[in-house]
Amino acid sequence: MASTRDTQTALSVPLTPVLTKRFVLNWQHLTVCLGLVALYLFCCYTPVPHAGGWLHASHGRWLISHHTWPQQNPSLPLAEGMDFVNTTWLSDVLLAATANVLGMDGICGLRGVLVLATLVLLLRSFYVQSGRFGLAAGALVMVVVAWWPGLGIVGPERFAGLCLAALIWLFCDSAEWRSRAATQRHGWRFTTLRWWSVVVVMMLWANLDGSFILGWLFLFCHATGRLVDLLFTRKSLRRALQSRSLQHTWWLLAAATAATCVNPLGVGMWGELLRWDSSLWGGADGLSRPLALASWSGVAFTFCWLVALIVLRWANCRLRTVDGLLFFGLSLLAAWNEHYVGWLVPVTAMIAMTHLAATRLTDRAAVVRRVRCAEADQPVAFAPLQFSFTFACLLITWFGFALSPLSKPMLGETIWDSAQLYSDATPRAVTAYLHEHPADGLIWCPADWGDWLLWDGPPGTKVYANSQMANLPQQARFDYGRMFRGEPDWKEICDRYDIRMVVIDKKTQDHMVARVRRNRKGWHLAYEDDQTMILRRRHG
Amino acid sequence: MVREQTGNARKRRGTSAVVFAACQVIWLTALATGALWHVRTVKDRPELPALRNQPRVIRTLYDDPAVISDEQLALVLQQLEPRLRHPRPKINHVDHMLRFWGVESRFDDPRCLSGHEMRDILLNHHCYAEYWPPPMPPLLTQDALGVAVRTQEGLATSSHMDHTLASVGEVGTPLDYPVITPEGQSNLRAVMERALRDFRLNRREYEWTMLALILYAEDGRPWYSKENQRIDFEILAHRAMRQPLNQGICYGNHRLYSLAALLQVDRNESMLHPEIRNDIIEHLKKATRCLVANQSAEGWWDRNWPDASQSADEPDEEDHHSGSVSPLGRKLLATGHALEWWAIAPAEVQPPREVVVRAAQWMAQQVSMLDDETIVKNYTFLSHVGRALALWRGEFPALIYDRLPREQGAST
Repeated sequence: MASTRDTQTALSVPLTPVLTKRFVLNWQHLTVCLGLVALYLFCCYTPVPHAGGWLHASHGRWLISHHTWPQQNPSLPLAEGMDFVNTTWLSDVLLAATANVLGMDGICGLRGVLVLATLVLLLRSFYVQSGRFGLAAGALVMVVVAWWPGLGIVGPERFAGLCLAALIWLFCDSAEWRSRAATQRHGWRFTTLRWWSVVVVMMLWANLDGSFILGWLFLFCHATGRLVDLLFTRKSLRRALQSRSLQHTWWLLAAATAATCVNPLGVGMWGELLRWDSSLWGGADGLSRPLALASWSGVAFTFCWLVALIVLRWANCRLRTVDGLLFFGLSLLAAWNEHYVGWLVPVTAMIAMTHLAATRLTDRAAVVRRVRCAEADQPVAFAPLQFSFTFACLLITWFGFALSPLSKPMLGETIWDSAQLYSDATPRAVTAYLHEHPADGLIWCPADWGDWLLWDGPPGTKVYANSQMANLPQQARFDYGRMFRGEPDWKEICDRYDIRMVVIDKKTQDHMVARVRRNRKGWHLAYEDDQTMILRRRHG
Repeated sequence: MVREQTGNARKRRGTSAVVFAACQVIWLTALATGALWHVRTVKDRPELPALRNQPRVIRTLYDDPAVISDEQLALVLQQLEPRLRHPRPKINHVDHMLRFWGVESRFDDPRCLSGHEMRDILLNHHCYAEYWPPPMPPLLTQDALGVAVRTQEGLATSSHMDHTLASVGEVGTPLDYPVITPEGQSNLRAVMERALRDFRLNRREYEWTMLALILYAEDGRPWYSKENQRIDFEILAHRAMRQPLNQGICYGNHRLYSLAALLQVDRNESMLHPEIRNDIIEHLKKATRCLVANQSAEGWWDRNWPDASQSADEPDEEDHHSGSVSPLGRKLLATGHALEWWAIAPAEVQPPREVVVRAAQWMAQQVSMLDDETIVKNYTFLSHVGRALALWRGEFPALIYDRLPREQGAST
């Protein structure tokens, strides 16, 4: 039985929180949390583009059902005999599995999770580099703005972005890892863990997307930059090569390179990179587009250079060779193909954080970091509301999850109907028609509609072209263009390729619409609405 | 103390610089070697198939007097002798007649060109220029890529892509046969290689290139076209089977002929995967079923041979013959081609023999009633008629013509 003496004894013991100071957040954390959750929900509910991701999901579905490596493009019958290098097989399978299990909600949720994870890793990296949360958040905003036009994309690019962010984090946070390795028992495990994490990331990246070469270049620049810096400081190649940290970096590069060969093509993947006409150097559609400054990519590219010039002007510490190699190397790639601008921006931000931290209040940043490290794991005294921001962040996080599509299995319907997650340009009416009246042969449609038709159409749907039409023979691409433009010989082209159905986008193919309205002998108009016309060949 | 500090310093240094550098060079070299080997494998892909000097012979498989009698065949062949010895003979007539009669054919009629003369017109610029003198451009042109045959540029040119090449191949011309161009002397191999370098699988006319490959390819190994597309007989077969049955040149019959020729070669040399072979047989069977179902009571077919419910008289804007061919010409074209590919096709795709007999008898009757003007107007179609009828008697026209009874003065 409790006694008053016991109660008085209990009251005399001061209350202390179980959590340490590490978990005491402030309004800056709350702001960033709110921003990230909002961005996550935005990515979850932005309509999915009608091209690109659905093609990868179709390929994934093919891989899952056939259990074999495709020797040629499985989605383009006319690409028989053409080289086909599938560098995104793992992304394709993941997308298909997600779509099969969770449907449209899963696809959108996956997109949100990947974008969120990428941005969180980048934020952490920027914070570690600069020591200032506001600066890191600002850099993150720069990355989000540069990536804005492509945030809605669902495809291997999302996985690749996460891999890049993971690599940046593993390198930027190396000081943290080393300090833990030095201060904690069995600390060597942190160094080994980081080492193997890089290797695993590269192995996964090589199977997720062909852009893994950028990750390799990232590691190569670190290794080479370290060598050059040591050459300058030690004035001797022999002494530079004897450096343990240098050897560590180069052995990491070797292991990562070996890891990238763990893919269905093996070392042949590197052979493909040496072929400049390979689709590995192109964007999502395998095509290379030189950078145009008068474009969103061009503006982002210009801004990166502006940041670089500011850093160069105000930096107090010496520019590291690795920073120069990364920045100039990626700039050259971006100038050659605008697709690489998306990679240049986070790397520029990472480099800028390092030097901005060195320009301004370096000591303060170091002091802040030391204080936080020293105090992070210490218990805090009891004070009212000091965890209020922490709880607010948790609440916002919960709201984000509850409102996202991924909560549907647990919490029921969300605020959005799944049907609203399709972009307006998605030709859903065409696939609905196909399910009722399947095509008995090849379908000609605009290439960007081909992805959707392959995914949502009935089994066995065959399209003339899709977003990978660069894989078609040149004659077929030429004839595609003639069909698209509604040239007079469109019927002869249909005969030559045995096209049984023609799907026309009324918004972009007005010449073709006019021509078929004038003369479509041998074809009948099977379906028409505001978006599309469908012609079917008469007499089967 | 100093020794201990030196030892600690040694421990902080890594592996020996030389060993470390050597290891890095080794793995970088291994990676570069593997990658370059892959690139080399791609670049070393054959741009041309291996070719044999002497072309294969696509033979008839049947000899049935019930299809056409000796007398009827003699009359048909006499009607269709190549009376092309006049100024400016159409080149498409010359190559069709060469294919029909063969290179060893000779005729007593002075109006007729011999087989050698016809081949010389096609492959020797000086002979060509005698019949098509300047300023008419030459039929043959030579450049670094090979020898090209002018096509579809008028009466003095070939009528279809690689038709001349396939025709000289079908009459047994070896690849080392000399070809004389305005630029100098070359050989038939240069014509063949140029044709293959220009080849695109999805172009409108590919049937004769396919036939030339069947005649001259050493084996079934693939090669890579200028579009970097792998080409082998299986892909060519898929291409030939892709379109609706009567789509393509001559109502789709040249595709069927090429497929039948491929089957014959594959029977002896195993160039096709069994699955593809079966696909081709099924495709030819389907064509046979359509022909059997849609044969007219008299025995002829028209361009609507796959589906007689469609009108054959309605002009077809995509049919290149529709504007210039008479109804009789269409029927001779469709019927002659059908019998020609059946003559070289295996037994499993053959129709009932009475179908062939009815068609052959109709053709023989029609040809016997034709006047010279009509014959000249339909020379190219009639070449298929005459060749088909001869093949159904077990031999090529020139060889069988010699032993057939005919009117005084006509011989080869």
